[in-house]
Amino acid sequence: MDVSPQAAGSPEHQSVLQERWIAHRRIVRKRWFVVFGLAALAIVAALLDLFTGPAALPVNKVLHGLFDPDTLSRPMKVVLWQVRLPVALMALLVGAALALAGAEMQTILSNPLAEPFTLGVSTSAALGAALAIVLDWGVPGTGGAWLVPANAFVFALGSLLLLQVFAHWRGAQAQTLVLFGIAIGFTSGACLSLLQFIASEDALQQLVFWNMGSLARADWSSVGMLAAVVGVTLPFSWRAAAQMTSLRLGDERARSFGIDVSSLRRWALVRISLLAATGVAFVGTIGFVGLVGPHVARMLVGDGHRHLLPASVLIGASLMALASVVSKLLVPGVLLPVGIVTALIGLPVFLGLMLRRRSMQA
Amino acid sequence: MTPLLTFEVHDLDVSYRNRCVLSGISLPRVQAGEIIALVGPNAAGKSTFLKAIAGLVHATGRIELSGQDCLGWSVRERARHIGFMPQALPEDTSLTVLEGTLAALLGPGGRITRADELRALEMIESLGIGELALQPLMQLSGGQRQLAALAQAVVRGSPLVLLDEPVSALDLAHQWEVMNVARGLAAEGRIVMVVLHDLTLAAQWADRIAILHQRSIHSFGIPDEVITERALQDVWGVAARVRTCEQGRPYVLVDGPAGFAPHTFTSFEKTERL
Amino acid sequence: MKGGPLRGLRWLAQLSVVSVLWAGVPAYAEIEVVDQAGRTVRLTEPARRIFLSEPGDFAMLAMLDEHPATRIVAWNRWRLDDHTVAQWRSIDPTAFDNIEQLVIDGPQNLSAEALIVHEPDLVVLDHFFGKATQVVRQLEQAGIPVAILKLEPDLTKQNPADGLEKLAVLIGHADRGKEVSEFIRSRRDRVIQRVHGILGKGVQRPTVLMEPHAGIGPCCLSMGVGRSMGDLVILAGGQLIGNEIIEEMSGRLGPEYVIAQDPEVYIGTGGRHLERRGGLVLGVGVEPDTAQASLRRVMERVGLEPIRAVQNGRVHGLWHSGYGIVNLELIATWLHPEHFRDIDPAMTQEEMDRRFMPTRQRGTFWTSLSMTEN
Repeated sequence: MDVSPQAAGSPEHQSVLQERWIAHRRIVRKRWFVVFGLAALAIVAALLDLFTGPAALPVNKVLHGLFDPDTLSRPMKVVLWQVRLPVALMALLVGAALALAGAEMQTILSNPLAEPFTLGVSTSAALGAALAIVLDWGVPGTGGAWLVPANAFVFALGSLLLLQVFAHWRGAQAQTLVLFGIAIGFTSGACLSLLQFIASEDALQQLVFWNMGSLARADWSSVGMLAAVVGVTLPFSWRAAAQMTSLRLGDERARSFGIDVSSLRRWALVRISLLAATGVAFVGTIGFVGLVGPHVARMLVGDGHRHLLPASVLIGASLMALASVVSKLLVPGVLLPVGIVTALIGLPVFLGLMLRRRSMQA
Repeated sequence: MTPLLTFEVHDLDVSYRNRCVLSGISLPRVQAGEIIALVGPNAAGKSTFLKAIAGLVHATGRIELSGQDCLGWSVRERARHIGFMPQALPEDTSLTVLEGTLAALLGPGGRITRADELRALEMIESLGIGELALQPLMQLSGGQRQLAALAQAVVRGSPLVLLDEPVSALDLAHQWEVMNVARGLAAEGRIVMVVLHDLTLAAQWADRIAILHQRSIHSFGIPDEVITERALQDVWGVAARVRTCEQGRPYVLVDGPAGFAPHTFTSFEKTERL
Repeated sequence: MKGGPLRGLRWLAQLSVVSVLWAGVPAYAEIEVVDQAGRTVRLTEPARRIFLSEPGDFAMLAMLDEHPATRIVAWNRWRLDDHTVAQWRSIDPTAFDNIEQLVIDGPQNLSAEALIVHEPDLVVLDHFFGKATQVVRQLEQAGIPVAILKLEPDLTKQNPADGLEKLAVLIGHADRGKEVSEFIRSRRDRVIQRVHGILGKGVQRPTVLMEPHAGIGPCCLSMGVGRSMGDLVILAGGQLIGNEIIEEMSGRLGPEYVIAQDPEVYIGTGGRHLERRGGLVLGVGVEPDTAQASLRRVMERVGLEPIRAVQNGRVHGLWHSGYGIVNLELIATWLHPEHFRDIDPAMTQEEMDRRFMPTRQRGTFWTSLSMTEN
């Protein structure tokens, strides 16, 4: 086994290295191809979402209507542009946001089975929504249609900020975060149950429905807000990609590379908070996308964040778009809450992933 | 590698949660090209010492690298000068050996160039795991993973290399390889500090040995002077025999716990076998 | 008029042309109504393709039009039991089968797209469904008029059948709307004036336990004020126990509390949907014996036996989908039997069915357990 670097100059040695380098580049290129393929998948899924719905709009009309809205009758224009298009875009954005948050969360918690709601965010958001629905409490200044989402957002963000405070106080290791997150989740859950107990029938129904997660509330302003949040966080996630990849090798190792690990974790948590809180505020609780998206992405393109992030985002977006389609088609005439669909599909997929993981390790 | 590379430690104190882990550690000047072995019983603070130098735990005192005090350095600054290989193997990840090495090379960020990739491949090759360059770390054996971790620690070319129990999971052949790499690194003009449990291994490869005992340095010097039967009894609490091999290096044979007299043990007649 | 006869002729010609044109213009009868949310609803002609958001709305429309099914394109029937639905269908099966029956449990499940696809010319939403402001906006953008109306008469309001009147205008049957409204209002006024008199003479309000969905769980659910049924008890001169505890629709009172409160009258509400769950069964196609037996069963629950209402035989049951005005009269006769002997709710129901409904409802819509069987 040649250990000394002295033979480095020899031509055989060089060509061996060259070969390996070419092989490495090929793998990298393959990964980018996968990413582009996923982008195409997301577009197809979004189009499918646009094509489905109770109003029987033929495909060519939809396509024409996208480019030249006036080719449609007035009601159909509203159907396409005010109903279906916001829903389709919201599906893409929520899927992207949750998957992005999930990818980052799985890295900073060193747990491939973590998702943005592992830290009790969804329960806190539900608590916020419940306060708005049952007691009409909310952020002053928000009213009407904004009362519930604003409150859900504030509580979701608040719970994650609380987590940051705990982490700062006790040290931001992965385990600490999870434990505190669980504690916050349970507390929120208890308060939520109390609210459900005193809620009127009306409010209760609304609350339960909100908890199931639904894209039906999407309109252009909420789509715009979520797009803004995703648009702002994505560049930061991208910039941190190399450092997050190093984090996969372990805290100490990453630190020895010169990376400020606690700062990295803190900022990642900020990004995760924004994404999860905004997603939940507008759509309610959607499970599994933040878990399955990055997981599948990891199986396709590996752990390196430079590929993992775009892949996760695109898979998440596609998943939600497809879930939206299924929610419209599964029971004829009924629009299922999309959170139910992701749970129904997500569970077997999740189990499948777990079994596969087991067999890979065995 | 700066020709004036030196390393010394003055009065280093490390506390963790109000408990004193290291107290008054001082190391006289170490020159470039030296391999220093850190030995001692469990929980003596060997890993902590290395981590303190690497900046992973908080310490007070003075650590001088080429005359500059490292304790004031930022994380990035330290990474530039110090390469650290932690005790734990890299976690379960599908990152390849090459990707791990590249991550180490890049540190806090920057773009990966072709030159970087080739340099990383070079490093991996020189450690003898060249064929595994594109294998995911999770699929490697313990020994291979340790070599990959070694690549990550040294690829940046840092003048001071700290290895925390680099051979713990390795078989004899790989142990030899790692120590040989350390020897090679030292020959390049770096300073290598290695934490080892195996005294014989330490005595064979190190230029000087530091024994850590009860939170401070018990002794520091060339293997012959430091590895004595007396030291083995006082520090490790074992009765042992120290012999010298043909190369002039000591090796250690442990008979039993301190105070053990072979004749009181009826079933094994160890002394006869010698 | 200077200028000679030619000038005058020209003037006459212009006038006649204008008159002819004016006479030839079709009567542009625009219907305009301000709904209960203050929104102005405009139709160019009476609505013939209506969406109704509440199960009970079908009955309301039936009071205004003999062929209600021909005016409806889609209807949220939600949990309406099959028997009632069959009864409505029997009026005009072909037209009824053309109606899209939807099951929408709340405003969050209301989909603009699903409504637009039926091309309605009027969407009627009650206040509950009117909360789906986003959907209302989308419908308006699509050019579909939306009216927020509670069609079911609210007997606590000055003009109980306000919503019904407005719908009547929107379908071009304004007179009929006024007729129904007048009937309901006069009957309501008759009751409350008498109650006013009774209370004025110093009679105490009897305490009432009103239990919605009677019998499906342990004792007892209780109706609060602010929502239909509970309000009827107040109007009829009674008071609900648990009032201080429960707001809105319903809440649970423990058996101990009920015994401690010792209500004088028990009124449960039920329907056919409670059949399978062992509750109070009333409604279309139910036999009187079945209804009474179910009420007896309901009263066998723990906590009810010792109360005054049971001991004195003042136990009654109401159909949850009955006419509000009939229910009001029933409750009044139960709470103050001596003072309301001349009022016969059955007659009121019969008159409403005869005058306003295209079909007579057959079944048992109230029942009682009393010392003497009535």
